[in-house]
Amino acid sequence: MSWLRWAAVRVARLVAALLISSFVIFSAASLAPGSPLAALSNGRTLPPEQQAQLRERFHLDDPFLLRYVKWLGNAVRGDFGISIASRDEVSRLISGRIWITGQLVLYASLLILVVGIGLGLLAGIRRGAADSSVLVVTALLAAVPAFVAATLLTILFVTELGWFPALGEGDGLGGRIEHLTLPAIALAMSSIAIVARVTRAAVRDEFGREHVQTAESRGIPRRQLIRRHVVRNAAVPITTVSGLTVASLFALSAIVERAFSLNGLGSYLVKAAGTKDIAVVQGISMVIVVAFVVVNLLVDVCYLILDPRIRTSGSAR
Amino acid sequence: MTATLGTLVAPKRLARRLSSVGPLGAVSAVVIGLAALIAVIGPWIAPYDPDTTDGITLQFADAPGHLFGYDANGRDVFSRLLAGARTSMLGPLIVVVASITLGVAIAIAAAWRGGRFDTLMSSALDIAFAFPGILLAILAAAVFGAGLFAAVLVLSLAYTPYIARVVRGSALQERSKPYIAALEVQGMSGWRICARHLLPNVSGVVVAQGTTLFGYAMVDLAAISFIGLGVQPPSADWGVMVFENRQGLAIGKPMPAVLAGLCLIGVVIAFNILGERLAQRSEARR
Repeated sequence: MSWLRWAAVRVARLVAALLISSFVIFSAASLAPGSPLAALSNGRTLPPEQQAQLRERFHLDDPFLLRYVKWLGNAVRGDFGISIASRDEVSRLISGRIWITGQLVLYASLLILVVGIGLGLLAGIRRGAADSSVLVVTALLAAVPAFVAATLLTILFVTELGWFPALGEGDGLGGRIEHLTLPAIALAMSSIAIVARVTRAAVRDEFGREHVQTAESRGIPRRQLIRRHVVRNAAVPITTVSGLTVASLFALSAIVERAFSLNGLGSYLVKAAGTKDIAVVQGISMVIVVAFVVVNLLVDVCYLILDPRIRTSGSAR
Repeated sequence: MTATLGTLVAPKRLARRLSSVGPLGAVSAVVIGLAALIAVIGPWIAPYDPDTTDGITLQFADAPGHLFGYDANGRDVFSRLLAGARTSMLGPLIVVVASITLGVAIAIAAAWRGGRFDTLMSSALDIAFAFPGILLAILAAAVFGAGLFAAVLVLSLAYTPYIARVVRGSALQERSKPYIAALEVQGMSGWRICARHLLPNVSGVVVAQGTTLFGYAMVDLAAISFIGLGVQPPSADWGVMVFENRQGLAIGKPMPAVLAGLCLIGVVIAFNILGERLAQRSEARR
């Protein structure tokens, strides 16, 4: 049962990450220069009764930690307060935009897993031309920032070739996929390169290990050797890097959504940050952090499946 | 960086240093050196004032004497690219220096003290490592207002774990070597051993990781400027320039945006390759 201990440590760490980030996100608002009251009233001077009302409503007279606990308690129930800019509930504003971001991240994640791991395996297993071309291409792609990728892809596929629509989110599943293809590629591009490079290195490492060379000398067919001995062992570092890059996509989507004028969470977060709509910034940041933690949880489940040592002894890697 | 500047006066040493990172690494070092030079003198050698417009009617126009023509606001593209090198590289430089200072201090302290202190520091770094830098930068912009200062401040914090993790690993290896124990037995103070022996012996790793992070910081800061929360227009910055000139894409004038993007990619690739080579070199030396 020692893997339970392993799982408990992992979960405790994720909960700690969640608590710490929520505290950072909440205290950011209190750090903001100027009184929260001024922000709530857009800088106008209010009559004392109204001031008292606002103080009461937003618990401004409570001590800082108490306000944090109250805010966290509401956040757990999906209540992030009210947007100063639009006077609408933050949770409503978020739920109207969360799908487009979710679909974009999912699309990009699939690209990373299929293309990134695929290229990495190809380069790791085959040597020579395939290997060196993957190395060169990934070295280039890793250096392309998402917003430059967005610009270059737009020039090539929208202006020159006319294969994809320029802006908007599209209707229906087909239209949505068509509209999200270029954004997903731009979002995934540098991650694909990183995953491919780590996958290649992991596969090469395994080929050099003694147990693989022993198996090879015993005449185990190459196909079986690769599947059972190389890829299976390389799967753990591949999972780690894939998880890391996929988890970072939620924050990166802000840039890609801006570049393609998509009305998702990320572009809304940027807009809210620009107008100091703190409640919205806090709400979306929390959603991004939670998504991040969920991805990490999935990665831990993958470790549990991939590495039998964790299940039997609870000590890993 | 300091190595490059210091060896400018000693050509032989420079050549030897360049050859130790292989041909690709040497080319990358030269590219970085050139970019750094332009960052220093760019605004002075720019043929026109990068921030003043010759009139909005000249939007995306070509003109004799203007190498890459005019940008979306009727300003000289070439001059803005030259001036943009400074803003695009100064921010990352501060981020890297700050995160190295903080990260090395934490790593050496953790490796030296060991035990509970090390465990605590390592878990703290693991959690901080997970927090995406871009999200922090957006938060900072919401709190302090958009601008390069807030972005540089939070990215310095966000990059600290990247340095600290790697340096802690090497410092732990170094810590367990007999010469350190010998110095301790001789009664040398912990501070002195760390400063005189531990630190110089992990400096190769620090320089390699710092070089790679410089590239990351350039990408992140340019992205933050692109979404309007970093360097503010009309200042010339490669990230800002991609954003400003995006309207050119639809009307067949993509060059101003593309050139700014290519400048960024070129310098980032150079940092990535040189960082990788330096890491291999410091790996080979141990």
